[in-house]
Parts: sequence; C-alpha cells; structure tokens
Amino acid sequence: MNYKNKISVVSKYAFLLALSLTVVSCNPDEEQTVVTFTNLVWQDNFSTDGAPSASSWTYDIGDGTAQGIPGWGNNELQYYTDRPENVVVEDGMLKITAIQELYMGAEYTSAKILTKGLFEQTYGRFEARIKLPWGQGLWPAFWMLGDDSGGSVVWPQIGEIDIMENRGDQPTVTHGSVHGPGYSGSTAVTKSYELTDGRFDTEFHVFGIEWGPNYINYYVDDVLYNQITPADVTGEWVFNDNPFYMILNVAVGGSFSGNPNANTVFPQTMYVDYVRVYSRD
Amino acid sequence: MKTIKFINKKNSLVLGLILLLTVGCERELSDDVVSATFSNTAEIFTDNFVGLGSNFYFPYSDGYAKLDIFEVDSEVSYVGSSSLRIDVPNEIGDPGGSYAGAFFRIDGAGRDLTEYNALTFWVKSTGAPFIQSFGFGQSEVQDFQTSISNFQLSTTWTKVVIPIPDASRLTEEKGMFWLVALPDNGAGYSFWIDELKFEYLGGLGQLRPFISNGQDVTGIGFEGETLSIAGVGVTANLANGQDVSVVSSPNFFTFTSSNPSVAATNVSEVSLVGGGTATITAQLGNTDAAGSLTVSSSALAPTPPARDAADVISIFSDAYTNVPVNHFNGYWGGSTTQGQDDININGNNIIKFTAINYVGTEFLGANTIDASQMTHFHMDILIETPLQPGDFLRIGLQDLGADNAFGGAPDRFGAITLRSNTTPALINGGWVSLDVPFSSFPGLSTRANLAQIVYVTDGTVGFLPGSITSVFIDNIYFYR
Repeated sequence: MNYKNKISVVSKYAFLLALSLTVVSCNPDEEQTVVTFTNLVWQDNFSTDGAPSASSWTYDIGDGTAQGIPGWGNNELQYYTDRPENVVVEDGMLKITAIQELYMGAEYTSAKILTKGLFEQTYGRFEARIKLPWGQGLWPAFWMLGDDSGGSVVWPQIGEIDIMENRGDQPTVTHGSVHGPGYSGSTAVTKSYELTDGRFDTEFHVFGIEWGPNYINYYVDDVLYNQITPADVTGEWVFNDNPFYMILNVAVGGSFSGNPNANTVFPQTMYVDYVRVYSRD
Repeated sequence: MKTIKFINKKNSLVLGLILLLTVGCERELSDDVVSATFSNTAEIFTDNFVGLGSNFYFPYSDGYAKLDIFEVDSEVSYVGSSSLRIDVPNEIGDPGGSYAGAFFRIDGAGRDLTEYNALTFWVKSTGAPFIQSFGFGQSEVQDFQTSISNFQLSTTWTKVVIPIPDASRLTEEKGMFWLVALPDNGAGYSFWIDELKFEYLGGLGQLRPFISNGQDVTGIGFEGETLSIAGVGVTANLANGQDVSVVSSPNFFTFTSSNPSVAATNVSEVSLVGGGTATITAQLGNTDAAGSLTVSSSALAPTPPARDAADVISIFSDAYTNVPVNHFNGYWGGSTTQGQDDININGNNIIKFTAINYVGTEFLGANTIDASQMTHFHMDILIETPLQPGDFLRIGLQDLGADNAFGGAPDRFGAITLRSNTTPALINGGWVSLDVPFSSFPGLSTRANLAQIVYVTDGTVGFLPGSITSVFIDNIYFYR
C-alpha cells in the first residue's frame, strides 16, 4: 500500500476543506479521511482516581534549573510538582491545574507528566481528548519528544512533535508543530487551526497526529488540517527512526504565551479525558 | 449629563415563571404540564424590522429624548440592501431633544430566546463616539434588562456582541433592543446598525457573573426595604480572547443571605426583615457570582414632631404636606451624584444619594419658597460610608432675592459645614438630626425666594481627602 500517495491526496483535500469549511461541513458526502491507523496499542482513560498511573506516567519536577534550563528554556514562570493540587485523576479525567501561589521561589505551580522510559514508539497515531485551560499567559500542551539515547543526543536533534499547543488568550486556536535540527524554536514548522464556532476551553476536543515514514498528519476532531513532510522542513528529518514519548503539561507565562495579566483567572485546569496510541499497522 | 432611570416593576406572572423554572431544575415536571411555546425567531432587523408588529418603537418619554431618531436607510448596509440608521441630535439647539434613547419591543407575543447566547449586530458610525448603552430586555417591563456600556463606535463596520447572562430565563421576551446614545462632546452624529439578531455563538464562553461589581461592599438598609443589588452582570470571553461585560437585571440571579432573619431572599428578591447584619451572595445558574453585599439594618429617621401647618414649610417628609419640588437631584454638569427620592419603606420615603460629590435640590420659578417667617432648618442625615478625618458635608441654601432669578445683586447663599468634630457631629451609620437656625447660615440674609438646597461632599472628588459617597436624607423642612 502506498501511504504517501494516499495521504497526499487526503492532504490536498484537507486544504480545500479548510478553506471552505462551512460549505463542506454541511455536505456529508464529502467526508474527509482523517485517520487510517486503528490498531490500539496503548491508552489511558484516567478511570482510577488518585495520582496518574505510575506505570504510564512520570513527572518533570521543578522550574527547569535542575535540568540546566531555568524556566524550561522558555522563561516559563511555573514550578512543576507532583502534588494532587497540580495533577490528579478524578471524575474519569486527568486534571492538570495551574495555581497562582508562591512555591519554591516561583509565582505559579503546575504539572508536567511524561511517558518517557515507560512508553515510547516510532510512528503511529497519537491522540488525546482535552478541554483546555484559558486566559492570558496559560500555555497548555500535548506533545512528544524523541528518545535522547541516554543523553547522548540533545534537542533539537532528538526531534519534537507538538500535537497541541495553545495560547490561553486565543481560546479558539491550536497549533501543531515539529522542531528539529535547523528548524526549532521560532523557526519550527507550525500550522494553526481555528475553530469557527466553538472554543477549546469550554468543551472537549480531540487533538491528534498520524505519523508514518516521511509524514506527520495533524488533526482536530474530524478535521485534518496539516501534513508535514521532509519537504516542509529546513533541515534533517529526524522522525523516521527514533521512538518518541508523550508529554502533557500546562505552562504559565513564557515566550510562547506571554505572562498572565490582571484578567487571568486562576486556578486553571486542563482536563484530559483519554490518551490513546495506535500503531502504524 | 442626564441619567436615564427605569423603575424595575415587579411582575407577579414573571415571578411565577421563575418559580416554575426553579422547580423544573429539581425534578421532572408532570406530564400534564404543557409548556406554552413562543416564536424563536432570531432576527430583529436585517433589511427591515422582522416580526416586531406595528407598534414596536418607544422613544423615552423623559422630555429630553428625541422622538424621531431612526430611519431604515437603503443607501447603507452591511449585508443586504439596507440598515437601521440612528441619528443622535446635538445636545443644544435641536427642538426635538438632546439625546437618542428608545426601546424596540415586539407588538405581540414575546420570543423564546433560550437557544441563543448573545444579541449581536454590526455597527458603524460617522465618528468614534462612545455609546452609553446597547441592550435587550426592555419593554413595558425590564425583568431581564441587559446591556453593554460605553461602547466606542468607529467608521468601519464592527460586530457588537451582548452576551445573555442566562438564556434559559428568556422564554417569552418582548424587549428586543434598546439604546441610549448621548451627543459626543455636545455634537450629534449618526450610526448604522445591521444584522441585528440573537445568535448562539460557540466562541462565547467563560461567563463570570458578578454582583456589587465583583467587590465585597457594605451598606445600610431599612427594615421593610426591598434591596436593590447594584453592579450586577456577567463578564464573558469572546472567541478572539477579549472579555466583554454586561450589566443586567438581578432577576437572572438567585440570591442567598447569610442571615435570613435579617435579610430574607426569595430567588432574586432581597428584603430586610429584621435588625442586624447579613451578607448577600448570588448565583447565576450553578455559578457563584463574584462580589457580595453586607447590609446592616438601620432604624428609620425620627418622626418629626406634630406642628401647626402654619409653623412648617416641608420640602420632603411624610409627616407634613410637602411644597412642590422640581427635583431632588438636578444631575448638574460635573456631578457624579446618583439617586434621589427613590426609597419607599412602607410609605416612608427616603432620599438616597450615591457617588455624591455635589447635588442640588431645586424649587424654581413659582416654586421658590418664602421662608421669611420661619426660623429654623431641619434635616435628618445618615452617612452610609465610613468617615475619615477631614470628611465633610456642606449644606447650602440659595435665595434668589426679590427678582426671583439666578444671578444679580440680590442673590444670597449661606451654608453650614458638618464634620465629625462639629456640633452636631457627622457620624457613620446613624441618623443625625439637624435643627439649625437660619442665623447659622452666614450670608443668607434673605430667605423669601429660596430656590435650592445644595449638598457638597468630598467623597468622590479626587483632589480632596475623604470618603463620604453615600448619604440618606429624610425630613427636610423649615419651621418656627
């Protein structure tokens, strides 16, 4: 089966769809093929109350100083903890909550959980159903980093796939990106997707990618909104061999979202209904 | 600067509906209940008015609002062939009036707006004036009146979104649209409105209700008084991330009292029923509103002694027959003072001035008062706000002299100034009764043509210290 041809057709279609969304969405005959991988290999439905499952998730703790990147490399303001105030499973959901409080010298606390070392995979479909926090200075994300081979490979060579990033002052916009050597930080390859009649902070939406050799497709709900291929990046394509792990976090402040202002309401919670991973075959 | 004031009429039918809806949230209604259904038409004006009937336009009848302010303009439109043009007059010189203020209501049955979450329209103007109010929910009643304030227009088409605090309450709404537009620094202007309709906007969210403007405020009320909770509304977030706030009727809210034996609540009504202090909080649906009102019960002002009619000239009391008064608050230019004779506790009328800096009560022309045979001035005063050192309340009397006209040689003015260390002294939270001989008003050498009582405080004037912003007044009269 020739994935590439199939996908590129879908992608072209998706572009047209995005341009004329209202028209297309009224016509059920022109449904998009959004995903093709259906072999579920990993999931967390967050059905057991308490801390996130230790067999699925680990934590980044602190403000990045211990990792040598204070502010996590982006001038972020939060101190990540594993306290239940900041990260807990209840009501069938994972809740990551950003709180305005003085804690360990930081003005805010929040949480960041990762499947690093617990579940990593090359290729596949990675998706999560999430309701986002909201407000100037909130920066929720569902993203992936490539395995660093025990520290011998460093970012951006390891590769980064951002499935969902949001600026809290743009409640209808999500961003999907890749970072790699020669295209990282402000030169990452990014496309944003905007809801035309809804919000990401008042209802759940599915954010996902379908990733195979030489392509990563980005979708929100039933809309495929971008495909990134080696032709789109200005450097080495680092997504064809390395296994990647998933990350869920809510950052506060920093270079992506700007800092909170007087109108930002705290606390703010990101609700995750499920995270599911499908293999490529 | 005029203030448009609406009396919030109580409507027993609507209260009945509110109770019914509340019950509906608790348990399912019986199968015997058949809800009346009303039109859910969204559009109010597209290329013309939609479904409003024939008698739908009501300019305000306060004597200042210009009566003919709108026209269906086929030269200008945002969508389609025409728009609704509003012409705001110059403040001075237009015999028709000095501002634009009107409501548009359905001549017929109300609409079911429960599926919408905002009133929206597109607007552009000849300039960039600030519009005092755009809203809905105003007809013969204002049970669910809601509006945005100080919206600045521009010369390009802009979409206005007025969030509905809780659309589940709007099952039969007649008040489709209302506006108050004052001249821009005295100058008139025009603006065009198009695609005026109710909508459900998926991008509108994060409704944050508030009372007392989101602050925790304290105040004084009187046993038997139905409290009006001020600064009520919601702030919502638009799809572009911007917040928009509306002020609304308290009828959207459910109030709760910390002490029902002091302040009793019945859904949206709060009544002072006993002595003491209670804190009022509120919910909009299931969402707690920011802000609170802590209210203390006060006794009413002392009843004036019985006097012969010939020994008293009463301006404001329930004990004596009052002389004609033009107004208790003249809303003079530069005055921030709100309120007038609008409290009535079981027949006992009380004046309340809020945000007071200065305010004048006037009895003009044929109403000027000859107090030459009287000897004293009486007034009962209750300062609601805490007193700070240096705070004062100055009470002045203006006499026009024999020409009975402002200006000129015979005008005489005298005033007394009350502070916390004068005799009598101002106090916070209790009535002070003034019985002041005219001789204590220096400069008031004549009093046969009294025309004004002038009140001045330092409360909201930024360049003076102090904090008197809210004053109750009762029993104003001259006597001998």
